[in-house]
Parts: sequence; structure tokens; C-alpha cells
Amino acid sequence: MPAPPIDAVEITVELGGTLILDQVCFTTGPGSIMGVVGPNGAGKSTLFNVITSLMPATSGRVLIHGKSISETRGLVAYVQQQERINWRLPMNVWDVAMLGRVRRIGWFRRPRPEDREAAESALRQVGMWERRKSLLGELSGGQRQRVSVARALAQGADILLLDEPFRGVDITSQVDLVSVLMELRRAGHTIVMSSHNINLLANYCDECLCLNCRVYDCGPPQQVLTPESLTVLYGPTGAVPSIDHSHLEEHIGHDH
Amino acid sequence: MDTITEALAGPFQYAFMVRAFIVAAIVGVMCPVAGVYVVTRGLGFMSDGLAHSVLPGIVIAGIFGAVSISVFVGGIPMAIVMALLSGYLIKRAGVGEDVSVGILFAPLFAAGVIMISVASSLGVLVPVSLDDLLLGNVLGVSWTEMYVTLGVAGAVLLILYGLHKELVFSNFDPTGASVVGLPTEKLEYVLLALLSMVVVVALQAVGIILVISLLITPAAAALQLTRSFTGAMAAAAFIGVASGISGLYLSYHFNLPSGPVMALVAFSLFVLSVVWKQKGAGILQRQTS
Repeated sequence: MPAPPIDAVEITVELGGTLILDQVCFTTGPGSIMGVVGPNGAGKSTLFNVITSLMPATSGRVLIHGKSISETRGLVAYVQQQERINWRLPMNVWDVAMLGRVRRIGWFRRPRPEDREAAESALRQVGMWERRKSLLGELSGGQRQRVSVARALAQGADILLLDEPFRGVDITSQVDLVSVLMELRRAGHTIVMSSHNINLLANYCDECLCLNCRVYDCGPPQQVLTPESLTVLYGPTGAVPSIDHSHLEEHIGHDH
Repeated sequence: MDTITEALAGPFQYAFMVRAFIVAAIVGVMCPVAGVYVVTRGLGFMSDGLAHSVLPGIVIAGIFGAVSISVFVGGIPMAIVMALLSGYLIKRAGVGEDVSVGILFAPLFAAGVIMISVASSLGVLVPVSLDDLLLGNVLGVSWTEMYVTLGVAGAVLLILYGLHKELVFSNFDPTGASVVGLPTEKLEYVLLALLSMVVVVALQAVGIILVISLLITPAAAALQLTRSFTGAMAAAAFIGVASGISGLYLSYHFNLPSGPVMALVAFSLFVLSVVWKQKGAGILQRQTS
């Protein structure tokens, strides 16, 4: 039986005496979407940082396809929150997709035909091939997210971590992005995304991880994203997002 | 026609003008090309800080006898130290980039001025003119300095060419670049070290105060007009060379200080680029409406 794409075992992160993550455990299946839910400061970004080895865990380990992160570098891609990316650069969509090939091209080398093919394939997968000559400044929030996903695909990653991918994205672009993610899931990619948009997670994730320093629950969204569990997760005084399972279904085919 | 030919060829009867034109062209290419990284990465204030902070290094090198190439011998290591210190403060002390530059460059520049003053009062020969350092003196460049300028510029441009895609990636998305295994922190230091070299080389042409004009202004003008990184670099180099060469001609014919004239020409070209862009946008709007 193949090892799971992500196997997180008792990850604990402590920073300056503050416990950020407490023995977090979960696994993901191939060709699946996992949503990570939790209030601000719950440790979602820290969890992503550990999975991508940007930050060491105080204890515990993460295995990617059964191997250590250092052995599988490149298989995991991190699509950050849009405001952390420098969109002012004089680059077009094609240039960003090619950035995904930088590590494979190697130091002091120029792109080869296979790098261009990978970038083209990635842009076609996210529906941005026709806009390949558009400047970054000309793109909407949703298009920027799809370009970021294309860069991750061009990199050759089969695990995509998306941090708040729907933030600042209008409803039409959310639909386009969800369609892309569904296609990627069908193609066998594993997607883990954090979001405060509970409705989207409830409708399109295979599993949801309820996180607030520790794992409160993990399982199919219908089971774990109940009003009661969200109240526990966000606290009695926290702003608990409401769930509307009909969200977006009129716009996009729901293939659960 | 003869008058134009004479105006164009006139300066070349002097060897110092030939050297000045060559250095202006080299600096005119190197500064704007590096400037595109500076502008897009928001390192303008850092560049200005680097230029000011090299003064003590140049004074020490001058006092200890490296007169002809004191700008390079003393300036480049000093600028690199400043860049590394600044990077260290940002990472370890948690201060912002502008704050770290502000903390470091003022005392270093002040130390340089005091060193000149103290050395003069002690009767120690300081073969460094503060005026030349502040405003540049491209007309006084020696053959040795010209060759060193050429070598340093060649090295800087070669390294920038070789590391272009990595530098762009870590500029665009530092976290994403780290995730794929690029040493983003080291790349940042390499960029700062290259920037130090660029700034020091440009000091001869336009001086400490005006170096920012050749680094930032042509790059900012080019970014108004182009749609790609490499296009911006090519356009910036063209504007930089045009600023340097035409600045020298104006300086020669109207007996004006060369560095400030170059800076003003660069600024004029920037204004033209903004007008050009807005005019282009207006034409496009009329066509689509």
C-alpha cells in the first residue's frame, strides 16, 4: 500500500514559551482536498510552514509519500496569501509559470524545451494559457491565484498547500478556482487549504481538519463542520461562520 | 553639419574626456540594470544608505596610500559590510529595512567626515576630495580606475545574468522560493553585495549624493514603458547610457558639473517616460471608447 501524500505525526511547535501547535496528527489521501479550519492564530500557517520545512517542529515529524521533507523537496508547493507576493514585478503570466521550473533548470542555466512544455501544461490546467502574455498587474485576484497554482504545477508538485486562497477573490473567480482545484483532485493531486470560508470547505473538501493549537476534529465536513463543533473550535465568544451547504452549487458541479 | 560634428567630436580630443565617456557608458549600463532589481525590490533607500556609508572606507584607503583606486579598495568592502550589517539587523533585531539603513548609514557617513577633519588637523595628507565624493568627478578618472570600473561592471552584470531567475523568484515570492530549496537569504546577501559594488563604481561618475539618480531613475523610467523584466533592463540601460553621454556633452559644452547634469538628464527622461505612458494610455482609451 503506498504511503499517504502527507503523514503528520504529533507535530508540536513551541515559540518563545508559547505552544503554537500541540501534537497535531493527520494524514491525507491521494487525489483529495483537505480543508484546514480554525480561528486566526490557530496555527494554520505554522502547520504549513512545518510541512514545507520553512520552520522546524519542536517535536514530531512530517512524511511526504513516506519520506522525509528534505528527500521530497519540490513535491510540495506552497501557494501563499496573495498579499505576501510581489505582484508589482514587470512579469507576465508565462514568466510566473516558468518560475516553477527554476529549481529544475538549475543554477546558471537557461530553460529547456521540457521546461516550456511543463509551464504550458500547467497554464492550460488552470485555464490561464490564453492570458499567458498578460501582465500580473492586469489580473484579478482569482486569476492571480490560478497563476500561483500554475507555478506550483510547473514545479512538478503533487501536493499543494493553499493559504487562504479565496481571500479577496470575487464570487465568479472563486467558482473558477474551485473548478481548477476539482480538476487537480481528479488528476490525483493532494490539496490542503486553509480558509475562513466554511461554506466552500464544507461543500468541496473531502476532509476537514479543525485546528486551534491542537486538532479538535478531523473527518468529512458533514461530520466535523457542525454548528456545535465550530462553536467549540472558535470559542463561545468567537465569530462562528455559518454554514450554507448550497453555496456555489448553482455555479459549479458538485462531484462528491 | 560641421558644427554638429565638431560639437560631437570635440570632447574626444582630450584623453580625460574619452575616459569620462567610457566610464559614463559603463556606469550607464550597470547602474540601471541593477536598478531594475532595486526598484522592484524596494531597495532605493538601501542604495542611498550604501553610497553614504562608504565614506570612511574610502578615506582610510586614501590615507594608507591606495590613492588611485581608493574608491574601490576602501569603498566596496565598506559597502558590503554595511549591507551585511543591515541584513543582520533586519533578521536578528527585527527592525525594518529602512530603519536598519537609517541607523547605520548616518553614523558611518559622519565618521568619514570626522576622519577627514581630524586627519587634516593632524597634518595627515588625505588625498580624497569630499566635493568629488559627494558630487562625483568623472572627468578626473584615471586609466586604472577606468579599467577597474570595466572589470567590476563586467563581473556584476555576469553574476546578475547568471542568477537572474533565482533573484526574480526570491523577489516575487521569497517563501515559495525557499520551499523549492532556493537559499533566499544568501541570494539577498549576494544582491546586496552586488549593489554595494554598483554603488561604489558609480560614485566616480555622479558621487554619493547623486548615485541614486543613475540607479533608480532610468530603471523607474524603463518600468513605465516596458512589459517584461528583461525589456525593462534593456530600456533602463539605454536610458542610463543616454543620460550619461548626453549629460557629459552638456557638461562639456556649457561648462557645467558633469554628475549633476547627468542626474538632471536622467530625471528629464523619467518625466518624458511618464508623459509618454500617459499619452499612450489616453490613445488606447480613445481607441476603445
